Amino acid sequence: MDDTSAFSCAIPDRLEALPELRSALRSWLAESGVEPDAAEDIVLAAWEVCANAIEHPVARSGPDTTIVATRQPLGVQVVVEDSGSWRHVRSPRSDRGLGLRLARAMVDCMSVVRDRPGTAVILWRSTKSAA
Amino acid sequence: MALDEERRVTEPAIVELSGGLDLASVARWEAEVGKAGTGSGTVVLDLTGVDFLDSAGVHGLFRMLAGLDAQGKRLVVVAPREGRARRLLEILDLQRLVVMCESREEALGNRW
Repeated sequence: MDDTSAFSCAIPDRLEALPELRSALRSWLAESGVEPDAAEDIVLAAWEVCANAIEHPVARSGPDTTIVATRQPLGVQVVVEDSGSWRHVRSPRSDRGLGLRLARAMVDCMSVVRDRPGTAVILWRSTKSAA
Repeated sequence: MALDEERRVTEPAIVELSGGLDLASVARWEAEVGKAGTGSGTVVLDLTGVDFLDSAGVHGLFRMLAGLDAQGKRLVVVAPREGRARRLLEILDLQRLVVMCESREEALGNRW
């Protein structure tokens, strides 16, 4: 596996640290040959999902929340996984509804998987440039 | 002359943003706009240099709008068509809620 085939890191537990994650993801997308418009859409979708994972006040039962982005032949897949459940969560602010709406609008496909301890959000965005 | 006096009093204040309007920076920009609004009837918020807008930024934008509106003041947003800010507001179908201009010249050229 070469260096640019996947991007993987732990999501910080503070919102203040998110801009650093954004820079790293942006760099990886550029190195992976993703065109700027698609890259910015992916960065925003991932940012909103990560912010949601950091903000929802659930006691985490497992290890860190992680983000893994993979360059695929026709697009990019991003998976954000955490050990909390979103099901009964009400954010202290009502802002997150808009965030997830925005995330969904940025990608071709967004699914939330909750069939195990924790939650995974899978984002997929097509790219014009092939991998 | 009375009209000139009036216009001088309400000369728009310009706040130029750059970089991100997001959860990390929105509080700072809201404070800037609040300050600008104290001495002016109209605040022109120039988003041309904004390369990242997130949902927290969108909420902030509407708080700025509501805050000025409550004082009988206006917020005019400069967001060029090809920019990220305009695109996101259009995707969210929120563009009609804000007065949006293509350029700062357009924003200042109109009488609000």
